[in-house]
Amino acid sequence: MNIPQIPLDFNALIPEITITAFASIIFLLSLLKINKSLLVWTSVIFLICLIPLIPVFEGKAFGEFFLNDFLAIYLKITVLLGTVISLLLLGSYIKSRLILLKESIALILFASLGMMLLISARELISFFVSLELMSLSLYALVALRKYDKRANEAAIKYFMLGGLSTVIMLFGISLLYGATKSTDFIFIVEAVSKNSELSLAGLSLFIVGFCFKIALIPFHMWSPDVYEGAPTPVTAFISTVPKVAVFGAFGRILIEIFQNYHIQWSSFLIVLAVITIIIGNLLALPQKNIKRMLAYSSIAHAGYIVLGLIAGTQEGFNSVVTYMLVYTLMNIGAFTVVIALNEEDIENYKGLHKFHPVFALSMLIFMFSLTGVPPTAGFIVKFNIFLQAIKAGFTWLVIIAVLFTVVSAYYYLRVVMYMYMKEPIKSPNSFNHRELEIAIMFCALGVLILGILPIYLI
Amino acid sequence: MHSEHERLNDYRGELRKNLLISVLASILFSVLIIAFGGWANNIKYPILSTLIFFPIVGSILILFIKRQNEELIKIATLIISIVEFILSIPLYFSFDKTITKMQFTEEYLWIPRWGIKYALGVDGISVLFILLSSLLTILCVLVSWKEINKKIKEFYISLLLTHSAMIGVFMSLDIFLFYIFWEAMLIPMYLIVGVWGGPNRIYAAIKFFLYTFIGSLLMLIGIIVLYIYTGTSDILKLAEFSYPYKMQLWLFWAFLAAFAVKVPMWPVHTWLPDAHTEAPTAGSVILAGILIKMGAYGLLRFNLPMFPEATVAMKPLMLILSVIAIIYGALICLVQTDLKRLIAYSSVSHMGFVTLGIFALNHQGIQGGILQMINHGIVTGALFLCVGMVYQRTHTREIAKYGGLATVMPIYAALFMLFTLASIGLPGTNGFVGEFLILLGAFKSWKLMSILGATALVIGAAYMLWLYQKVFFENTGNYITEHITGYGDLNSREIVTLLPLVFAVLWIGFYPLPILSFMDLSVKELLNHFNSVIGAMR
Repeated sequence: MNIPQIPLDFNALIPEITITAFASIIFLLSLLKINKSLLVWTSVIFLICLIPLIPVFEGKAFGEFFLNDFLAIYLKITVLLGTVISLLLLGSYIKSRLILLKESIALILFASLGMMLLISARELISFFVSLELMSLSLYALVALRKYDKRANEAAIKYFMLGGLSTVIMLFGISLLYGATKSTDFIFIVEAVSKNSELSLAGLSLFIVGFCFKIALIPFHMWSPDVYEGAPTPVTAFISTVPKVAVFGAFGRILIEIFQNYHIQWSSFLIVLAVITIIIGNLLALPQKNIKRMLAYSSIAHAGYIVLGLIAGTQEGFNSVVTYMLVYTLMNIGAFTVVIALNEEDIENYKGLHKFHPVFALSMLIFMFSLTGVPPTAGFIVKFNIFLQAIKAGFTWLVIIAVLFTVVSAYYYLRVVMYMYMKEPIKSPNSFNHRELEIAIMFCALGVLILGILPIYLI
Repeated sequence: MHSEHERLNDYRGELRKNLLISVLASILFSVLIIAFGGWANNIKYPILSTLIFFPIVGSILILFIKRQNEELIKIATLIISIVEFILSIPLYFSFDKTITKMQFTEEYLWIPRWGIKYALGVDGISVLFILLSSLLTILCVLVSWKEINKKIKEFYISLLLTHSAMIGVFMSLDIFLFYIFWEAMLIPMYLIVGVWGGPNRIYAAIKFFLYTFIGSLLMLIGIIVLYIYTGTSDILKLAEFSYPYKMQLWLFWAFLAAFAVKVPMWPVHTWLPDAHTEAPTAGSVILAGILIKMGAYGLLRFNLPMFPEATVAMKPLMLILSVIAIIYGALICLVQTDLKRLIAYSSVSHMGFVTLGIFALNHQGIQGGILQMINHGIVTGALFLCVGMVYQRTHTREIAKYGGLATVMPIYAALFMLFTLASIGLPGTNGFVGEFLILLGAFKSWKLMSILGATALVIGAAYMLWLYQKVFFENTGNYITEHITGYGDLNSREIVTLLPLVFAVLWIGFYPLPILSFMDLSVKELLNHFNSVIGAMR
């Protein structure tokens, strides 16, 4: 085995190093008696300052092991935006519930660190390690409410199934290593055709792990329970930001490394995408708990997003990346409204427009955006995905997706219908924290403005 | 007691003064804008964008008015809609009827990566709908004055946004922009039906949304396929390509899915009676007046010029579906017990005439079809307004409960009679001109269909006259006739609401040339293009 000479240039890694240092400091500080919202706001401001600096660190580090190119930067900014909003939500939650531990801030920071590394990893070991850093932080986050039965159940379920999928993926990685004798993506690309059967077996196990993380049916069992059991800010975080990283990282592997095996892996993903779109949307229909409904809706969305990967082109992957940004905004936005209204039962959303016109209007925007109705950004990105899929010749898949988009319209609009068209049955005991208002305004305006002027989406 | 009465009178007087001032101010304001535009060399300012964005800006302003300040919200909306109408008048006078090109065009690159442009322009067909839409929006504001009494702010904002999106549909020259407006219109319309509608409004709103949404999404696939095939999203350029026959057939059906639901054509019309019936009066007027015309407009803008061979192949089927819609809609009207539902089903029948004219594929047919769309907008809009006005007094729409209204509401009865006759298509009203042209065109194209369509006119006369007799003359001692003395005749606001439509009915009825001359060249151009493609094929 030859060990390549690795030059020690870690300029491109500076954002990650900064976050590591910062998260450790926050972790230490949270052991002291420090005002929690001070910690939250410090982290938020730190990340906001970091976001515009990320494009500066474009480049490679450690040879080819760490790549920070345009797409990686785009994904990282999305991840950090999602993290900032999630931190705001967490801050409001800490204020009103007083049951959350301060470590949660550090955990979220570590999780997003894992995601950033995952996005840039160009080597199997660092890929796996960063994935685990992300996953383990997430398991702990789900279990934050340690005296809550539902949260514990969710955390254990998440941990067990997540561990299983990790093992499967690790097996896939070892097969890939066995087939190509390298963990470096660049060598794998070259060597994969020499031992194609073994590497394809590795790839399929790899895909299983991937499908688990993005909750494609039939690997979705964890997600509704975890979404329901976790504290809502954590749900908002889990349902969006890790998916950005996972879609980004796996998309690159599939599109860039296994480009020549597009037919093999896409046929596998096509089946899963069809099942996911159909069953995900149908299962969302009867849900009575809005968090569960959003869980199934995000399963269905994963199905749509996979269409962009199935297209198998660089443009298709770009459409996935832009979808993730909008998906993050609209999904976190919807969860933020759920936190603000402090209601999980959809029945209790009846007539909420009377009490909270601004929240109701934002929820309307998010719901229409999730459905994919213009002039919201949800439409533009969905259009882009469909465009790329049809370009690659998958018109029939798009027709299925479109038909089930109509099904999804029914359950999204039901929320709007309850809020605007029914008489209230009880007055809500909602909170009105500044953090929540900022988060909602940011997401709603983002969804609207990107829908009208899609400058950052193409 | 006395002082309270006085105070109320004072309040009313002040209100009237405010209204008058606001109307005058709005007229002055818009005249100034137009004068400025004229001064800036014959409408060089982007008139179409102004028309789209003025109501949007207005609705943002209304957003900042306090919820409790209801009168101000109404007056502001009225001003905005009047200004909007006056702003659209230059379209009528500066429109050059001697050229076939798109006019008042604007073009900016919108999404450079895909080459999608923000391109607007009107031809002789679309300009009429923009004018009609601006007019009807004013009337909708007026008729909602007393009818809408909850969430007033949201209602008027939705109304203005619907208007913007609708005229955007008629102006778009880029297929992507067209789709954005086409879909964006769904959101406020869904809310108008669902929030301010009748008892069964939620069912109606969801049905309306899902029906139109599925059609639109199929069209979206068609749009993507077109875009990938040609690499452009410019509607005019798309019409110049010739597509393989099989592709044309698929695309024809994809686009038809969206347009047939909107028109609505026969098997997919079932959302319309529900939505029309449950919507508030303003919603029904917009739905009947403009929204369902978008479907027929889409057929003229996309299906005919882009897929001519498929159109010729599908023509018999389309004509048969149209005739089924005409006869079926008319027959259903005969058994309706609800005033609004009856008018809604008569829409199905009348829109059947529109598609009959369009798919006759000759000059008279298409011209008649377009004219019939305008007529239907005016007449059915007026009938819905009339029903809304009487509903506010009686709070029932059941025909059986009415009777003898003519004795207490003579002005109302007279106006309703005029619209009834126009709906039947009596010579001298606008309905006659449109239906005559359509039947003439259809006769040239397929005699049997024209004859069958003409028979439906008899049924049309039957149900409308039967309705009129029941509501206005028969005095059967039922609910309404017992309370009849309590109903005052139309007040001045309501008469003002109906007058423009009375004028339009008679004007088009006696002298349709100004309207026909608008579309004449555009229709000719459309058919020339169409026939040249078909001729080249043979």
